[in-house]
Amino acid sequence: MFGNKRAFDQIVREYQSPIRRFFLNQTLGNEMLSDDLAQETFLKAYTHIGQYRGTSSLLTWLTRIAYNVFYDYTRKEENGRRQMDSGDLQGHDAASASVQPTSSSLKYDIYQALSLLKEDERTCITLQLIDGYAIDEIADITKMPAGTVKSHLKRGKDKMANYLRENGYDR
Amino acid sequence: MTDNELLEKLFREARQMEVADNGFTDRVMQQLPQEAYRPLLRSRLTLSRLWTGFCIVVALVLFVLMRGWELIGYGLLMLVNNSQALKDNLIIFIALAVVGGLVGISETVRRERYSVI
Repeated sequence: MFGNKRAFDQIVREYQSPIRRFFLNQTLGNEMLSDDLAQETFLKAYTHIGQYRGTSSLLTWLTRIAYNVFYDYTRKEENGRRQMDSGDLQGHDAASASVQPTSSSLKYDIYQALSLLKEDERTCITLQLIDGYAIDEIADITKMPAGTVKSHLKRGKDKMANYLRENGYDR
Repeated sequence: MTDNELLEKLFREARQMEVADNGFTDRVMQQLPQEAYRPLLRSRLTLSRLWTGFCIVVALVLFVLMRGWELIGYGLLMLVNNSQALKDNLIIFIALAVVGGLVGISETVRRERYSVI
């Protein structure tokens, strides 16, 4: 099934939406960056498709690759910025440093609220509340212990709820 | 409103968001490496076939060394002599055994091909 390009074309067509949405959430709406990272994800999936054993769903496997691609990207960005300067950093992480919310289909409020979170918190929150993954699946995708995932979820939810209340979102 | 209700309200729309393809799939397909996957596939397929061939050769050697035809003949003879139903339908049973064997071989070859793809 996976040995030819036509089959892979079907896979990309079917799963491009959740994978690009995952990156949009991590980059806080940066469409160009999201598409570049999503493209890298599918290229890696193509060259490593022989490693997919069917123990999880194909979407979970693709999301795991996407998470690794994003993780590598943020580490590279951090290292690059560290080398460039040591003092005048803006933003608290790589993703928020490149925030250009250009997506009009998602409410800007979501990206504003997500920008308050650290990367790991944001990943756990979006995987659970948007993509619908259970805690053990998030742990499997991110390779974090389940207890750590729970802590990120708790802290992330608290931060977001406080922000939403402060901005009158509960009225 | 509880924290969970607040977050549910915020993320309801995001959960339903579908990202339109807008040529994304075509761009990915154009970027796919031409030969990156095939050599790997070929080498694994070759290895798998070599293993299958090795197993077949070992089975044939053992069959000859242990005079497998005598064992099979003796077994069949015993079966036929001890079973009236088998005696009456010998041709059907032989045909079923041959068909079963052929299906088993083709299934093995098919699984071998898909296990590496």
